Amino acid sequence: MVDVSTFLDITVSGIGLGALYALIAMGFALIYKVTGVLNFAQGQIAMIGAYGVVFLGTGAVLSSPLPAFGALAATIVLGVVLGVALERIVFRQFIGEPVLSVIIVTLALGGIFSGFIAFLFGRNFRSYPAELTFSSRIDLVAGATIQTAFAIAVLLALVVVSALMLFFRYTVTGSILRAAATDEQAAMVLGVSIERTIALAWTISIAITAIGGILLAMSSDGAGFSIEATGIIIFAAVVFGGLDSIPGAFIGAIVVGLLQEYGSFYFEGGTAIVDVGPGFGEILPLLFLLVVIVVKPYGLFGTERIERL
Amino acid sequence: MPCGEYFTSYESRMGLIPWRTQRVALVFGLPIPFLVPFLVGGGTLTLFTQMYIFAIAVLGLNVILGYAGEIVLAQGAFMALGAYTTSQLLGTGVGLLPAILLGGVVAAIVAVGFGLPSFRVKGFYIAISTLALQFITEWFLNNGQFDAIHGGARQTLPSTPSIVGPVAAIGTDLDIYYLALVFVLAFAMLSLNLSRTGIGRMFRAVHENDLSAAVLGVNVFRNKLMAFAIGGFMIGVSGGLFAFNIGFIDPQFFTLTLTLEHYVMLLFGGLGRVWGALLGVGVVTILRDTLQNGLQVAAEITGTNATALVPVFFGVIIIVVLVVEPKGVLAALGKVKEYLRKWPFAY
Amino acid sequence: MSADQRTSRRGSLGGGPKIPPEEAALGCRNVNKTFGSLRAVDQVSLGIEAGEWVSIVGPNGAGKTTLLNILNGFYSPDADADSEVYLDGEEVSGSPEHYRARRGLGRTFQGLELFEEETVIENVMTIRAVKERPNLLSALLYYGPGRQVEAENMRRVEEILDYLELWEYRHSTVATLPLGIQRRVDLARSLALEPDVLLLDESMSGLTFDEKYDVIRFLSDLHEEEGLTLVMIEHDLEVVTAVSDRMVVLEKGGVIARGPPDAVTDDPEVARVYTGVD
Repeated sequence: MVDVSTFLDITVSGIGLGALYALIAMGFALIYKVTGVLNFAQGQIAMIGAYGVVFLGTGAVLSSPLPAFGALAATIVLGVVLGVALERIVFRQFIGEPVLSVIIVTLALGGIFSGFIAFLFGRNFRSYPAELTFSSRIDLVAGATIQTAFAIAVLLALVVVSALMLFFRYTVTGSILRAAATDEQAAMVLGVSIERTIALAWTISIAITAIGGILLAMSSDGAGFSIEATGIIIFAAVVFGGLDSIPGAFIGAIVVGLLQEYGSFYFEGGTAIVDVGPGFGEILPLLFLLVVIVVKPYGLFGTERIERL
Repeated sequence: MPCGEYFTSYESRMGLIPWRTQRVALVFGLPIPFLVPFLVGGGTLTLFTQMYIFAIAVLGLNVILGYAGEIVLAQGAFMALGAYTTSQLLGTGVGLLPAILLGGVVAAIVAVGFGLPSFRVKGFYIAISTLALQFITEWFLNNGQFDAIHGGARQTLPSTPSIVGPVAAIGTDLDIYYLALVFVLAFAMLSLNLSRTGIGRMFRAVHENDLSAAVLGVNVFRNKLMAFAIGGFMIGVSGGLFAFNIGFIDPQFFTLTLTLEHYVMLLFGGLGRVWGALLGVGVVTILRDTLQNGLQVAAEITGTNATALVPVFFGVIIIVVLVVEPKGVLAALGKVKEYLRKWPFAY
Repeated sequence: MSADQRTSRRGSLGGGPKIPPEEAALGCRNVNKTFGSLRAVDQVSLGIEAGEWVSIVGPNGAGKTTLLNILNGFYSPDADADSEVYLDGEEVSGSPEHYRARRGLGRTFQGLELFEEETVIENVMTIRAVKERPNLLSALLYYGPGRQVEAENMRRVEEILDYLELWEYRHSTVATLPLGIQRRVDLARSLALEPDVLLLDESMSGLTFDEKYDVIRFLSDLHEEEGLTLVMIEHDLEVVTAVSDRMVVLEKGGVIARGPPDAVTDDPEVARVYTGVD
């Protein structure tokens, strides 16, 4: 029962979902590339974005909420502030510390964020203000349609990936970031002020992650705790792409988005060819992740480090 | 080092409790946990049992993370494997002890399976693949399609199973307390022994400098797998005991939050130290219990969701410990002791 | 540069290995290693006799450390070449590094690579455990053979520490010790393997004259009394000519001269490499 137009539809929404993941995955890859921090709290940061709009734009917590688009803008600003704050307060303490400590710190941050969100909103689905939900779908060629949130995500992800690539390639700050990424201490010794550039990287990373979270929430008309799982799903994307490669993260995210959509259409529920049970859509990328780790751990664009003694 | 005591053989010097004062402390200290049930009431006793069970899982984590330095983020999954295996096997009537031990074996096998990629990759990749395991396990247990394998997401365990085969039924809180105590003492002893023999040293060498360790003859891959097996076994056993203690199991008990909690315990006490792990479990369990009760009260008064804040406190503790004293409270206490010993002269 | 060109450029001290690699205590034949576009080791063959003290010299980036890394299996040589590595007559080209170490190939490191958070005695005990370790069960129970093995290991390790005059530092954490002592700990660690062949990668760099003197004293004793075969990378030509039986000069990954130190240092080709004067 694989018929072409449904397949096309699923492919389109897979690409849309992948573009959403791409924003979050590029946020991860950017930080890893520049600071070497493996951020296990990406899912929670995306969730902060998603619930930020609920917090500011609906009456769930505040008695006089902001207008919908104001809340949206304010949430993005909040993401930027959060990025700077995290870098200043937390991650600066851990420059040069072992990877283990940094990973555990990001896990702890994830716990803190999701705990706070659960405190404020409960672990329930919270719907978005009506202005921010799109009931209509955009028509594409050949009868396929795409959710508006996905369409925005695709455009935005394309803009972000090209902007970041151009930024790293052609600007002075970009080359400073590249230098800092290669050897933080050497860059410092050579008089490159990396503090500001690292803060910038965190800002960009958390802002695009938060935007990803907001769009993810928009695609299901509201914020839910399921966004937390994005944190692990994007690992499939970044590992496949090669960890520190931004275009790699983008391509990996599209692949993962497609896998998830195919998985949930063809392997679960009434439409399934083989029904493996509910939620398999999210599991398929994880199985893919395990296969990538075993077969091609350095991913598409990653380089294997030469160990020295 | 106390005065007037000398060693006459390598074996006496390499003992776990070489000094007379330590032996005296052991003689007086060891009976205390055995006497606890006569001193405290039911609720506190259950808390102690819980503490011992978590201590086993944290000791297992200590072998993998503290000794071998592999970041494993699947405490919940391993404990769940132990718990569900135990539950399934109890139904067949093999008895509690074999069921729990086999639960440990299943967890160990899965742990080794997820250690296999460490042949090519290290650190971070193991962290993500085990994190993926955590999510896959939760999905698997919640999935009705696999009921034939795991026996259903929510299960009730028999309340008074026999220990081995049909012999000797156990089930009171007191029985479980002693069972958990025996297990935790045994595993603490095994961990201490592991730590002071060549195998434990090789684990630490793999942790500290895997490249030079390999060139100097340490089979890095084999040692990593061994750490995964030993640690996984302990965590699985802890899961079985946990299930039996509570009496029923639900995938919700075995989430990433559990992993985070065990990390708090281990880091708080001190990574790679058995006494640190035990201290961390004790302090953090009591802290969590107090916190949970306090937040419960706060939640009822304010009508908010205050109990959801528990992970926030854990997260803050982890970060503060890592900033202030990454080696944990035990190392900090050692520093204080050293300071006092030299006081008032700083040399 | 191809191997043929190098042969034509070689001085009188070129030629093949002293003895065939198969019969050597440690040998290799036609070993290549390429990193990206860089040929780090180029068609090197060596045959080191048991009981010899051989020094490998050459300018920075000549491929000395890479060659050691290939000999002990840390790097595998390029797959396309018909390269072979022999250890005590056994072909070990396919064996992992830990196997070669247990077969009697010790190694010290340019960058020390110690287990920094551990004490000196723990560092040496760790590698001693490679040699003779209890099985898992008796280790876990710390009973019977497990206990005896540990006591015996400790006795042996204390002998080594004694020999290298590390006694007073035995309970210090390695990271807190000065470089000279750390180099000695590195040496102690590889001696715990009871190696037949010891590879020394600039084990005297950064040391004061006195410390160097001590290291040479230890090595000479080991060489003479235990018959330990030594392969040493060293920049100090004075030391090299004083102690070694033979020298091998590497440049751009290839051997340009080999032979007794006096002859090699007089070779015009070697002089050119070292001084840049034709």
